[in-house]
Amino acid sequence: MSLLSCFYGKATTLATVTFTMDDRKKQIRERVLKFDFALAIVSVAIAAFGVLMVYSATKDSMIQQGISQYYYLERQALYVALGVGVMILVATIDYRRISSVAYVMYGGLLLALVGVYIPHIGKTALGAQRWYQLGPFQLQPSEFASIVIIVAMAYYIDSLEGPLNLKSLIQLLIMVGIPMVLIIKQPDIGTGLVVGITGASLLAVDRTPGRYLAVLAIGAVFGVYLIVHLGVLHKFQLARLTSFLNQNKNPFGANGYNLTESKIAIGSGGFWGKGLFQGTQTNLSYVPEQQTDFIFTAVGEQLGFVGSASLIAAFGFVCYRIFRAMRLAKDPLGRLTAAGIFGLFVYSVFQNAGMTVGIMPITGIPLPFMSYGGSAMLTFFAAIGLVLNISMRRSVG
Amino acid sequence: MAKRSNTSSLRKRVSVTIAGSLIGFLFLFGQLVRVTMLPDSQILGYANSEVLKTVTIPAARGEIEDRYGKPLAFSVNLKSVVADPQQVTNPEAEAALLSPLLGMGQAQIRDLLIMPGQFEYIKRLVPHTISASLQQLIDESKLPGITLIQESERVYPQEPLAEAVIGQTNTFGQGISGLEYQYNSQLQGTSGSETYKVTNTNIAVPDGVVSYKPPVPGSTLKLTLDSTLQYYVEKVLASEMEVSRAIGGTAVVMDVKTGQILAMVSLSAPPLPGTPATPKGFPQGATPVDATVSLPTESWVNTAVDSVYEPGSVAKIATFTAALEHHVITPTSKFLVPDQLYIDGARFHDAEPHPTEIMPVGQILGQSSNIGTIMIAEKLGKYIITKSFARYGWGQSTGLNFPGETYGFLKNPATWSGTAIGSVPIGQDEAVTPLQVLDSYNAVANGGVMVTPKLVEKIIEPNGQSITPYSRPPKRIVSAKVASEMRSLFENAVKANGTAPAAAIAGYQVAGKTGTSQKPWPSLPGYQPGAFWGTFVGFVPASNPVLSAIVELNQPTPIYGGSVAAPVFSQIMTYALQRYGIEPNGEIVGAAPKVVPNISTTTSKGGNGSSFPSRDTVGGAGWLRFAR
Repeated sequence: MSLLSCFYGKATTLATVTFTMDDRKKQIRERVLKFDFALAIVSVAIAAFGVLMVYSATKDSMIQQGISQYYYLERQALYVALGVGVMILVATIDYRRISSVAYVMYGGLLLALVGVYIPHIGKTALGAQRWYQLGPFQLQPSEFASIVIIVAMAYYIDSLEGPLNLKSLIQLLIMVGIPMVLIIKQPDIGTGLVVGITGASLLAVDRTPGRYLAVLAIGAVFGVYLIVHLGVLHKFQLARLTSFLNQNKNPFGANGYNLTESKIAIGSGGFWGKGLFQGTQTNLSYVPEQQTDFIFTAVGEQLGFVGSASLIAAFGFVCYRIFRAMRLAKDPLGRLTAAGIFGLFVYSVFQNAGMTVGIMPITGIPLPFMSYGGSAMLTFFAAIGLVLNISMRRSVG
Repeated sequence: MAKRSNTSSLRKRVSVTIAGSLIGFLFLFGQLVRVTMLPDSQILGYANSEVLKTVTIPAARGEIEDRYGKPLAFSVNLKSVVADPQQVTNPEAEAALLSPLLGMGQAQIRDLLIMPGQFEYIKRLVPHTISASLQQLIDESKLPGITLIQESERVYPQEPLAEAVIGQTNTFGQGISGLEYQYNSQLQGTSGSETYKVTNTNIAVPDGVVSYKPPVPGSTLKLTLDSTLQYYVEKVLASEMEVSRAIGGTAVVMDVKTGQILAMVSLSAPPLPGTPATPKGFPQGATPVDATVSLPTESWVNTAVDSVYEPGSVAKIATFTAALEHHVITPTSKFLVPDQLYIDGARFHDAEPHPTEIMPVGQILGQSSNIGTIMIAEKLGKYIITKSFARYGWGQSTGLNFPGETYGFLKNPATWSGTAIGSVPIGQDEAVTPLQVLDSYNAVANGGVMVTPKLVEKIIEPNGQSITPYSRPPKRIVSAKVASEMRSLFENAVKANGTAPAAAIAGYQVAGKTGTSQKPWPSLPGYQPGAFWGTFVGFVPASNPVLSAIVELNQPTPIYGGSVAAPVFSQIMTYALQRYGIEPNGEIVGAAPKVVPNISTTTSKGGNGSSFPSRDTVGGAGWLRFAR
């Protein structure tokens, strides 16, 4: 990777001691050899494919509204470029150094999440308070929450001596709980769940005694029961979350509409799909949020089973490479971080694609690299950057 | 915890994690297979139904024009204002904008704009100036949800001329009566359609047209009617109805050689509002003879073909033709005729009392002696009489096939009553339409060859090709000799001692026959006292007939066909003879009708076999020239 060599190449020219220079060269050679090119390339390829999909899903409605048909294409391409930059940057700085500023990042996240509630600073849209407006761009701090929490939790657990005790477990739960509640309160249950499940997957992999995990699992089930029955959620939220369980009841009702349109789109794509730019349901805005949360339907409609299954397979490959990095990580910090990222990706893909085909509730979370949006794009590339970082610095393999 | 146990626990958890993830992915994959390869057919149906929208593009309805190309009916494209209430963002504001332009109440428009559904007519067929202003507002995006759709309005420039013949269309532009109905399929053309993609908000996608089928405009109907003659006949008949206080009037003028109908008039003068239509003792539907009637107007029923009557003495044609054919009489035979006669106990009498006298057959016909006719009929017998009627087309289709046309009714001779040999030959026991009567006299005028009556000369397709609608071929029904003898006998009616001297035309020999018949009760046996039909049917010039016509009045005062119908016949034929330049010997030498501009010359025979100039000889002048 030429960029990497460039980065270290500067360092080498500055080095004065010969044996140090040789040592450094050896180290770099080792890292380049261990660099997971496949993961990086597949991730960037998915993101590039996502740009095409976002363009195809928005082209017609942009033309119709008299806006440049490339509006979404240009922006998404910019996000991907920024994302790749972030990925490389994150990969090059040793993850142990990144983790050392974990609490600072965590503090910043909490401030940002609280900030969206402050009138005139946070931006309200569609009844939810989620964004900061930065010039022409919107920043959605909740999208960054999962990666920040992964880094912070991994750092905290790594700093412990031996397995978790009850006190540290509670501290961890609070660490996850505060941002999660802030996000759910926006209201954004989907992202809140991503944060929770990511945290849980991180706990599940290492250092947490089995009995705690059992208690946590029971607690989670009980929590869901309480949420459903104590009216913590708005009625519409509950109705929307459960609508996928009875899909034929009211296919075009307020709660079933998204799913029905989504299934029409994917179903009408059939095996080979209708062809690029030929998708009527997604390109003509029948599927709501077709460029963001429901981007998977654009793939299914235009490229059929072949396209969507290939995309799932590509994500499967990405997840496998993250899993591999976790298994080969040289220290618990790397392993924990990779575990959290593995949970983030597996859950995001399963939840997002699953909701479009009717096996998961409709919650607005992005499909990694595919959904239109800068915050999520940067987050997922940063996560892959961390995984590359961990796998490149592994001791064996 | 020992390091080894830690490692094994880690390995176990890692395995559980990867297994769980794998199961999740497989589940997702399975559902993907289900959704894409085994999709719900209902769900797939939505994919097309919600995306594709098909609109019908109406075809321009064909014109109807008279024999000289003068327009009688055409369609004007106008815009109609429709709303898709789901697209209307601000009903109140849009109603306020529309209200002054459409001349409708703001509240009324608002109520239409908030209707459920996606299609609501706000106002149909608005004038061009209004639709132009609306289009501008729509282009400026000031009227979301409002669109203008192309529709057409049927215009009858000479309305109400020949209303009953031309007919009417409904609001959807389909013919519902008259020729508009009969020739609807040729007139309406074939509508086109356009299928295009729409977004979820029902907005057409640019370049989203999936299929387009252009509409094919309808054909033009070129009638045999001469609208100028039609107008004249209507005027003369109406004035006679006023004078005679008749409640209805029918007149048809026909080209003898071709059967082309030059004028077909149905007028009605219903009792004035407030006049009891059915006073005490009168059955439903009967109008008392002394009822005060309104001024004559166009009838919506084409009474020439759509209603039957007992024709009276015009029916004598059948008996006299058969008698000549069977040599029961010659044109010079004489009969000793009393003024009354008993048949099967029923008394038959002539219209006027007279001593028993010797009458030549010409006088029997000319003075319309019932007794003389019955005496001849008795020599023929009921079967020959019935056959003679049937050969003249009574009780059968005329072949015109006009909507609502009735065949009339002829009694089966096997079931004749004892008195029928007295009543049928004088036109009392059968039902017939005025056109059927005219057809039989026209056949005599045409030398014994019956021609099928026609109202449509040709159907001109949009590509300019013209089609002559099918018409039954001419058929000889009477020998030329007998027809010629009948023509001479019919001249007696207009003689000074005949029943219809008023039918005479100076310089021309008229032949014809009167009929004065009692009106039966609509729903009772027997006849209405004082209520009669008066008819005159004839042709001119008698020796070489060119025009035939029937005039019939319903409940006139005086009652006699010779007094009320014959003068109308004389007036309309006088006008027509001059109009078409017909000489007393039947030659056509005159110039073309003066009413149509740009017709300087004409030929005696049109290219279509008609005796009158057709549009072909006019030189293809478009109707627009006349419309101004």
